[in-house]
Formats: sequence, C-alpha cells, structure tokens
Amino acid sequence: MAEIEIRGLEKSYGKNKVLKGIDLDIYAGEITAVLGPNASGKTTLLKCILGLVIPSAGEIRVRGKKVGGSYEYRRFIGYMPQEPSFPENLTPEELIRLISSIRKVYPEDRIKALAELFKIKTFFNRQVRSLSGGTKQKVSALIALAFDPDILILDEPTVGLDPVSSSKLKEEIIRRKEEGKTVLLTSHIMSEVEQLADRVVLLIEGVKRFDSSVKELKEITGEDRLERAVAKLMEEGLG
Amino acid sequence: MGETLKLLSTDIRNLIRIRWLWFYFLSLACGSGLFLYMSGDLEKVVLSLLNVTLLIVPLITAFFGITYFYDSKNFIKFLLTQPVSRREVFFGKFLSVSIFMSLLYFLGVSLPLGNEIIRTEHRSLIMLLILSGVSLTLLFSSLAFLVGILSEDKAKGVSLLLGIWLYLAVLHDGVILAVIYIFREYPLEKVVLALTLINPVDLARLLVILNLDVAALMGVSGAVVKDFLGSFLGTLVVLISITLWIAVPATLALILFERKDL
Repeated sequence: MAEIEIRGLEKSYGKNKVLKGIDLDIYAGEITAVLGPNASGKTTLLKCILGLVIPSAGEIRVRGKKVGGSYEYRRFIGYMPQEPSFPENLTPEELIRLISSIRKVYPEDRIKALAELFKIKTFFNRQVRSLSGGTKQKVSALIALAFDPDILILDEPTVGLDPVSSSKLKEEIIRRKEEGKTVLLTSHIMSEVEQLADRVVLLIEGVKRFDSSVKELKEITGEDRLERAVAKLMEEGLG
Repeated sequence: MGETLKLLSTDIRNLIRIRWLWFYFLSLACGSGLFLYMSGDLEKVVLSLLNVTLLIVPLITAFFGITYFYDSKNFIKFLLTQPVSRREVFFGKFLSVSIFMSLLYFLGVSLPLGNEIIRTEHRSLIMLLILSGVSLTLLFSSLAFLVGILSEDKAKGVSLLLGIWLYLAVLHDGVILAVIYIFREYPLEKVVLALTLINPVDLARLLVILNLDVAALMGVSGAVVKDFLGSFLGTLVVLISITLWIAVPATLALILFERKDL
C-alpha cells in the first residue's frame, strides 16, 4: 500500500486552477522528487498533503488516514520548509522543546547526533535572530529528522546550506530511505535530484505530465543528463 | 487545551524578549507616575490616564497585534505541519498576545497607582479604568487577528486596522455630534444612547467618566446615559456589549482561520 495516496486532487484559487485532477501514489523506501517550472503547483501539492491548503476536490490519504479529518497523521511527517521562519527571540533549544512537547517525545540521542552532524550545538542557546540563514536551515533539518518520522517532506531542502552540510543532509536523506522511510521532495537543483531521487513526478500547469523512474525518464527523452531530460519534457509540456 | 498552553507559554517567552513592549510598559508606568506626581487629585489623574487608555492603548495593541501576527505567519504554518490542531495554534497565539498586552497595561497603570488603590476611596475608579484598558486591549487584539486573517497583504491589513481604530477612537464621536446637530429639533437621547452602545471605545469611556464628577457636565444626554448605565440593566447591557465586541471578532477570526488556505 502507498504511504501517501492522492486521488483526483484539485485546487482552485478563484478562477485560477492550480491543481487539475492529480492522481499520485508515494511509496515507502523511495525518494520521490516532484519537479516542475515555477507556479506548476508543486508547493500547493505539498501543502495539500500537510493540510495547510484545503483541496477543492479529491482526496489525500497518509498511511490510510484521510487528510482533513484529523491532524494526528502529521505525527508521521517530518517537514522542512523552503525558508524556515522561527520566532526571532526564541532559541533553537526552546523550539526543539516546543516541538518535542507537541509530539510528546524528546529524542535526546537523535537530537545530539544531528546537532553534531550539522555542527550546530553551539547555536542551541542563541536567539534565532542572531543565526544565519544556513544555520536556521540546519535547525529546520534537525527538527524534521529528529523525531524519526516515517515520511519526510522536504521543500528545496539544501537551499542556503553550505556544501558540507548539504552533502551531509543528502547522505542522511538517503540513509532514511534505506531504512524504509518515504521521502517526498521538491528541488530546482537537477544534480541533487539525480543524486537522490528514485522517481520523478513532473507537474506542469497543475497537471501530472510524467511519473516514472529517473532511468526511464532519461531513456524516453534520449538524454543522458537529468537536467536536459527534464528541460526537454518541460519544453514539450509547455509547448 | 494542553497544546494551547504549551504554545502560549513558549510564545509569551518570545514576547517577554521584545524590548519594544517593555518600552510600552515603561511609558505607561512613567506616564501614570508623572500624572500622579503633578496632580494630587486622583480624579484628574484617572481622567488623564483615561485619554491615554482610549487613544494610545488601542492604537499600540492594534499595531503590535497585527504586525506580530503577520511576522508569525510562516511559523504558524510550520506549527501546523506538526500534530496540532488549527484551533490550538490560533488560541496559543491569540491568547499570548492579548494576555501579555493586557498584563503590560495592568502593570503599567497599577504599579505607580498601587498606593492609591490600597489606601484611597478611589479604588473602584482605578479598577474601572484598568477594566476599560484591559477590555480595549482584548478587543483590539481580537480585531488585529481578524484583520490579519482576512487580509493576506500586510500593508492593506495594517491600513484597514488603523482605519477601524481611527473610526472607533475618534470619528465615531464626530458622527454622534453630527447626528445631534442635524436632528437637534428631535428628542435624541435614546438614539445617542444606542450610538454610544455600539462603540466599545465610548463604552470604556463611559464606564469611567460616569463615576467622575465631570459626568455632571455631560448635559441632558449625559443624564439619560447615566440613568441607564447606573441601572442594573444598563450595567448588564454594557458588559454584554463589551464582551460581544471582544468575542465576535475573535470567534470570526477562529472560524476563518480554521478554513483558510495557508
């Protein structure tokens, strides 16, 4: 059974149809990358899964539980937004304590290990206002990963990270996949998608235009680089 | 409820560290102390503080409430990706802002006047002033959240809220004066009373003024208003009216927040 099942998902803002009948299954033990040009509906799709955006039609189920009925399913999800925004006067320590109390578990060992991995232990007691964008992104990664969620939803996860941290985060994502977790991500960095993704879903103007493995995508388009292959598909799709 | 308390306490920790808010508290405390130092007459002190309470307190609360809401928007979205309901997140944020701002007002006024509250017979007058200030703080916090949820655009939201403040705190009295002037040939006491009751800033003003000697200067309408407000029914209507003014925008804000795309 798919970890995330999406059926006939539609979302409109007034007359503007952002998602037009998306059907999609996301499986455990796979990294699925949702790609598409700007304003193709990628972020709206992720927000619908997270319950931030209420679909106009269709249904989403996360581990069999219907999204919209309850918020408990979000216990299975670790989310990393594109640009983390935390209260300026709190410290990462306080933020982690808050999320831990909401999730009713304080995974001390994992927090320590991740803080060590991203080298952010020294920032734990500094206010968020004094942290750089990259450090905030690392705190965000720590929060997403620390509770060992079965599903990771990552929106442009490596944007703003230095090469070392970016590489460590990617290794961590692959490790989680190998443990059988589900990973859903968006990225504009094709080398990153090529490195991470097992499967690529291409959205163009709210419609799913392609859904297959990276290997198949290259074969179909006759390109050996993912960047060229995706660009070719997007050009065809937009044309 | 438990989650609301966790969010509330963390958010209050964040608010405590905003220096700007302590400047607000210090201004109130210094103002109260200065008024008391300059005039030995407590009624005059209360009257001066009333003007601050009716104009400045709603303005600061509204402006801070809405900018804080907009600044917290992305964190609110992040919180809602965690296993917590929209209702709990809304109450956590709303209660932290309204309780903390009310507390600053309460401390800012009551600390310098503490001696007077304990020793003088004007205790109830000061308590009424504090009640008015706290009510207006709660009201403008709930209006700030409602407007913040209604308007995605920060500039539009802030402008709309300042417009509401300007109307309630200043222009509404102009409307009442215009009605009195235009229809001066007619008996207007009940109309004026109704117009007064629909404005929470006027209600807060009346709560205090009617307990001061200056109430005698309010003329015929003042007498009618005083008769009405002095009665049990009047007090009940005022309390219900103020409570509705706080509860209706807050409830509307919650209903919209629960259905909103974030």
